[in-house]
Amino acid sequence: MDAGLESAAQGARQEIARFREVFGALEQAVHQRVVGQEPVVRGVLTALACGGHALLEGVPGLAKTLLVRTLADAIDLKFSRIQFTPDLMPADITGTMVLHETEGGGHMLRFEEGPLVANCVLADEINRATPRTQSALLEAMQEHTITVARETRALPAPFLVLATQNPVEQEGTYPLPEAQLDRFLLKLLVPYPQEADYHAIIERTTGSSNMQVPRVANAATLLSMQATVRSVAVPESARTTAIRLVMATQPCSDYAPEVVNRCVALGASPRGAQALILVGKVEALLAGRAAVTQQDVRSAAHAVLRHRVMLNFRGHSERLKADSVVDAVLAAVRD
Amino acid sequence: MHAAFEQERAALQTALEAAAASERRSRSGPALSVGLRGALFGAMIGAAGQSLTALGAHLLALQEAALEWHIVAWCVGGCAIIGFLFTFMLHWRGDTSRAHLAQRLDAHNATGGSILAALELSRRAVCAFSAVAVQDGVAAARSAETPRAVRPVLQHMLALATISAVLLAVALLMPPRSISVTAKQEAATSDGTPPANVIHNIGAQALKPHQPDAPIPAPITGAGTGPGRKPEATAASAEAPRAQRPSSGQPGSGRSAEVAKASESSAAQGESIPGGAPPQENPEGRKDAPKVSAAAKPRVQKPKAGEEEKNGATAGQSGSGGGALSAVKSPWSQRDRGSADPLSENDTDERIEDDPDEAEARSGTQPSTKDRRGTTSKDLSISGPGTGGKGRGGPSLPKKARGTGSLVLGVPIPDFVRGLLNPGTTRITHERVQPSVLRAPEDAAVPTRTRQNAAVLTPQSFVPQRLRQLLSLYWIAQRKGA
Repeated sequence: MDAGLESAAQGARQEIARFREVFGALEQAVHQRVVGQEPVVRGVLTALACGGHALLEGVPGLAKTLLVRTLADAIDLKFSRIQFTPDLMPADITGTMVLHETEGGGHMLRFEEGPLVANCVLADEINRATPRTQSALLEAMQEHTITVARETRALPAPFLVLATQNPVEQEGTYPLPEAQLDRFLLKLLVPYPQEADYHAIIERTTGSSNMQVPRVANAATLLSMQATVRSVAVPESARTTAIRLVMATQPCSDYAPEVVNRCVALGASPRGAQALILVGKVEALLAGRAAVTQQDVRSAAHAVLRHRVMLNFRGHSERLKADSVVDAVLAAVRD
Repeated sequence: MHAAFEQERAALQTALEAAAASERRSRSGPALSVGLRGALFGAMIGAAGQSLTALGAHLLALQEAALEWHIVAWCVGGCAIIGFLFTFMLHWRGDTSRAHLAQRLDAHNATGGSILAALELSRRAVCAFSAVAVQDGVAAARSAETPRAVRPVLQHMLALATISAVLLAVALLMPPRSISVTAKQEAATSDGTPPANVIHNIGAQALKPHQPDAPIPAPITGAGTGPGRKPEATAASAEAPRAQRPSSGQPGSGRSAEVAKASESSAAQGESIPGGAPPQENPEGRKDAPKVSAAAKPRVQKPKAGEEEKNGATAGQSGSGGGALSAVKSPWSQRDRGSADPLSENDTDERIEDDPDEAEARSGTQPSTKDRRGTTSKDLSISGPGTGGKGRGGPSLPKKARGTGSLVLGVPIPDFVRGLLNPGTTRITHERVQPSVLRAPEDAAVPTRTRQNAAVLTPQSFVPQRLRQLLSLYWIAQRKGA
């Protein structure tokens, strides 16, 4: 084999091995404080490696906030938390121009950064803020910039928004608009712990021990991981599967199953296909492969597509869940 | 670098070719079995065709009911050979494209799709990760085990062979029907009755179109008085064709007892024997067919008024003639109706059917009187509560309540606001009944499994599924109506 290709291949193999090593270390670090919830932890780390944002949905008390805080501790990142409330204003999260007094007795306007200017932002109970405040996140999540006083400022890289919301208490909330939901790479459902996990939770949290989380990565490591993910090869079959899965969620498309045509008002956008491929790349890297396969794409379908499928009135009336629609889509789209 | 990548690609192609050859070799045995099954299936088709032919000839009493054995053999054998060749080639060749083979290898060896990915990436530009993927794919393809083709199940072959043998036996052993027909002819001639073949010929003539030059056969016997035959039809021979029309196709109708007796054997075979006149069908269609006048139609005797009142069957119950009856027997709702049908007031039996041809003959097309109804009564009588919808007097129907479904506790109704998706379900927080002590069912609290999915933790409704579906349909209908 050619020496140049051989060395390049060796370099790629080393990148894959390093990715798996850091990813595994991060998982272990988070699990030192968070008990159980393996799929959720893995999903959050996947979003981190892809450079995307994650929406965590679960009832209170399931360690959603603890997970994000632990992640920020494990990675040396600037962490900020925003508790979304109905009276929160956009300037409260992006920052605003504040009048400062200079030494000579004069005054000047200076930009005071809001909590959004950070690497890892926890948007706690994001659906309790008004749509006006929620919209302040749109630019930050997509372009990684904020615009204040006609001036656009770049956010530090890596930038990650982890939002939480409660699925039960819907009174007094403002459901996230489709544009914002589409900007979340993954929507992860946080379930109740298993019985065995309860023992560990009680043991860790009711004792006197204070579990310290080691720092296993920093921002540079994270950026390197994101570059590795982008390098993974995508064969045509995997790309075709991702495209067809996304098209199958759109009513009246060629691949849409009957339940989509009947009960879905809005399907996934091209961002969904991008997300499927990115998450598939992480799955391939974690499996030690350098190329995405169809199975990688299919395994990412639920987390990627469940918040991009909007049910219509009939779907709500039939108590249909987005996950069952995704199941139908997966059954309809063959390899 | 490209040369090395080409080597990898060639290695992958070689590995896939080897796998394809191995799979094709493994297909030979199963392909023969599948071909044998196809041959049996073809033989079954051929035998079924032959047996259907024999059965049809038997039922139609054709002379060729008995099939020659060599024709049956040729047909069945040909179908079997075609079935064998078709299925064998289909299975033996199969889809041996590289992509399909790579997919099969991945599925069989659980390589996670790496062989297919390597095959696709080997056709594209070179990069480090693609090279790694191709290397992994080559290694997986070399060590992959070729999936073996599976032989078909033997029981299907046995079933096919059994069905083929049965159908073949039916085809070869079906007795000819023509023998029994000849015996019946002889028996009928000795009794003095017309032979069956004569009747058969008459029946055959009934199916032929009328030829003006051909002589009209004389009727076998006198005409009957059945409903399908007009009495005037026998009065003059010139009117004979008029009487032939209604009786065709009705076995036994419009015939005398003698004809019924004479044609017993043929009637049993489902043939239609016309009554007095030989059957002739007008070849020019219905337009030139002679009309039957109103006077020529049989009259049905109308019951006398006294009898009608005596039995009281129609007093006030029908719109026709109801005005001449006692008002005591007619309810208000009947009086509110319009007057009787003007056409049926005098004599409903005398009504002439509105034939389009006759209407055209009466100076142009006339409106159809079949659906003509009387005008609404202008009488301002009191409407009862059940009559509703007339807008005059009486209480109206109860108004439909709106939103009742939303008052039923425990039935979550999707709160759908246009432009605002997924606002959650409506909560019914106010109860409009007096509080009372309710005894909870003993099985209200049941042990549940570990809850896996927090997102579906909505309270389960105690309302039956059927009622929930009804409410769901109600709200959908309300929304459509809005």
